[in-house]
Amino acid sequence: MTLPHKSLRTEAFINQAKLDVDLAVALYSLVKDKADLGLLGSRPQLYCPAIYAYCQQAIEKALKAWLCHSQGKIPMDHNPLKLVLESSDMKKPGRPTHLDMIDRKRRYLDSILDMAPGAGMPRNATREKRLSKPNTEYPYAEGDRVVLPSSGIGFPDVNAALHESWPLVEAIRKYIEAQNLSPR
Amino acid sequence: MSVYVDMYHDRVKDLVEKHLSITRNGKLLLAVWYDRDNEKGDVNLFEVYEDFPDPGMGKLETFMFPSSSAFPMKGDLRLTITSPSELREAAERGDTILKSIQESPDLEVIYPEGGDLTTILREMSR
Repeated sequence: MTLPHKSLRTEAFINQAKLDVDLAVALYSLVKDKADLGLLGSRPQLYCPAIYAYCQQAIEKALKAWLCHSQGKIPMDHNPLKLVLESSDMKKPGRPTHLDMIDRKRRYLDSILDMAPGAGMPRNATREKRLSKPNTEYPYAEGDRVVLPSSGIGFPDVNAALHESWPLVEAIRKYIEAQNLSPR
Repeated sequence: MSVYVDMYHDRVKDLVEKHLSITRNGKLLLAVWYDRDNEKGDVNLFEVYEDFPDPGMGKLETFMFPSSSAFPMKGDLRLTITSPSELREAAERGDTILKSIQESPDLEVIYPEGGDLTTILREMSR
């Protein structure tokens, strides 16, 4: 099998990143609409790891694409998402990043479950636990509609999490568009 | 007083005993069974652990566990767990759950046994 020329592979990678960022943007908009309509439920301190994981992957892929373009390679020896978050204006002194917050919430929920008298799940955390397995795949193709797993309830803090990462998503999208890397 | 207080008393104490043996969240500092005499038959338990993970919201949350063979009851186990630092923040913000605990007319400090809630909370707030 002949591998595509490096530039073609790079272009495909960047196109996929552009698509992923678009989907993250669409997902954010959907969730934001729900928040604006007051449909996000009554427990905003929980979050939906599956949706967040998807958006995080989209951001990471876009960053890799950006590094791929700007440096001519994808650095494998560090996490580009972490690199940018740590160095960007988004990380204010003394303030935890959204990744820190997600980790804290996950540990919190795990610890709560440790305190359960039986194997039962809290009535008000069942959904979050069920969705706690990160979505590690990209199940969408171009032209697919982004459909939330359920409407109306159960996506409490995803809005806050996405809101924090939103400037980064938008900046990457604009950068990719400005470079005319993805003629769509 | 409803029948549930007597019925649940040993179970609540046993549960707190079990929690005392869980060390990964640090030492258990306080366990309060509040609003004991409720008609739903719920068990309302508030606990403070030395190093309980803080979700960073500065507000308390109650998780509701249904009845199980390990902890049979008519209603739900309503569990609110926090750390001293989150407790301080919640107190500063006038957290509604914390207020309902403090104002509960019918509560028992399970751990430290016989402790005075007001005194303990004041010490934790320092």
